[in-house]
Amino acid sequence: MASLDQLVKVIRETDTDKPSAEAREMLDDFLRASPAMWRGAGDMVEQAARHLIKAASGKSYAVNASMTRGWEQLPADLARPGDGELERLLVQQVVISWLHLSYIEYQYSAMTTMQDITIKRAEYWERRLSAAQRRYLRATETLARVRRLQLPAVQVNIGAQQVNQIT
Amino acid sequence: MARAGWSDLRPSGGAWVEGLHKKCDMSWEYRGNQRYYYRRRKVGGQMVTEYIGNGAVADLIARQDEIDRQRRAAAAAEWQAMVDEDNELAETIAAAGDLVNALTAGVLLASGYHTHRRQWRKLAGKVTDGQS
Repeated sequence: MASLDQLVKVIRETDTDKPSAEAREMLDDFLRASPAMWRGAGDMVEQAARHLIKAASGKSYAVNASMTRGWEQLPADLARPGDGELERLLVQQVVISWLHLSYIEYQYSAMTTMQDITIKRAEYWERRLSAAQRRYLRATETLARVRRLQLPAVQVNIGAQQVNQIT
Repeated sequence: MARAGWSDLRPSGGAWVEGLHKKCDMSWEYRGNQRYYYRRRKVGGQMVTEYIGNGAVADLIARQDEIDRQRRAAAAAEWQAMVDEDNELAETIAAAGDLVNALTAGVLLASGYHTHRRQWRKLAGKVTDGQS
């Protein structure tokens, strides 16, 4: 599987005012010929969501079931007809960021209402909360941007199926 | 050398320290046949020693201090475990986000966009997205 570092390197070479034909071709090949990268991204987001649900629910079956249901339902609610692989990933990114933000907000609220909370610990949760808010905002902006740009279709082969990344 | 009957009062984990004129067992100091209980803490980067007393009352205060110390250590360990778990979770989410962001950038570039001052633009030069 092609690595994230390789993709970032190719992106850097392509993201110029006048990218060379060679660099563009390399990026096209990379995106089309690296289905494992797309599968890997989906798996990583899924794994992160399971990790988050486990951490947030602790031993509570009810919380676990509720969050799992939310994780499965929210992407379907945010999906639009004709969404491609990229939009599907971005929707997942929005949902996981929202779940993480909710989890941090809950922790922050629980901690700051404790009588013996120290300034250091309150600051820790404030930093965490700000980071989660930024990540959520960025995820929603990216999804909105990709949808607004209405990119032309780019196809990628994932397994035996040919899937449109962008429609 | 510890005196008979006192060893059971030594705080757990206490280490004997040989000084020039005194022996210290954590916060106990021994002079002659007497021992004296002190609290030591850092105030503004300097070590401050506060004399508490001797005798049975000092023993009780020392035991209470030891219980408080153990309670604080347990709370600190619990906090550290929570922070470690939280960091691990944040890293997992960030790693997934990095990959999704890289793929997004890749698709945008492959579709004829590039970044100019953190804005995505068509290569022709027309601004297509006002968001950064």
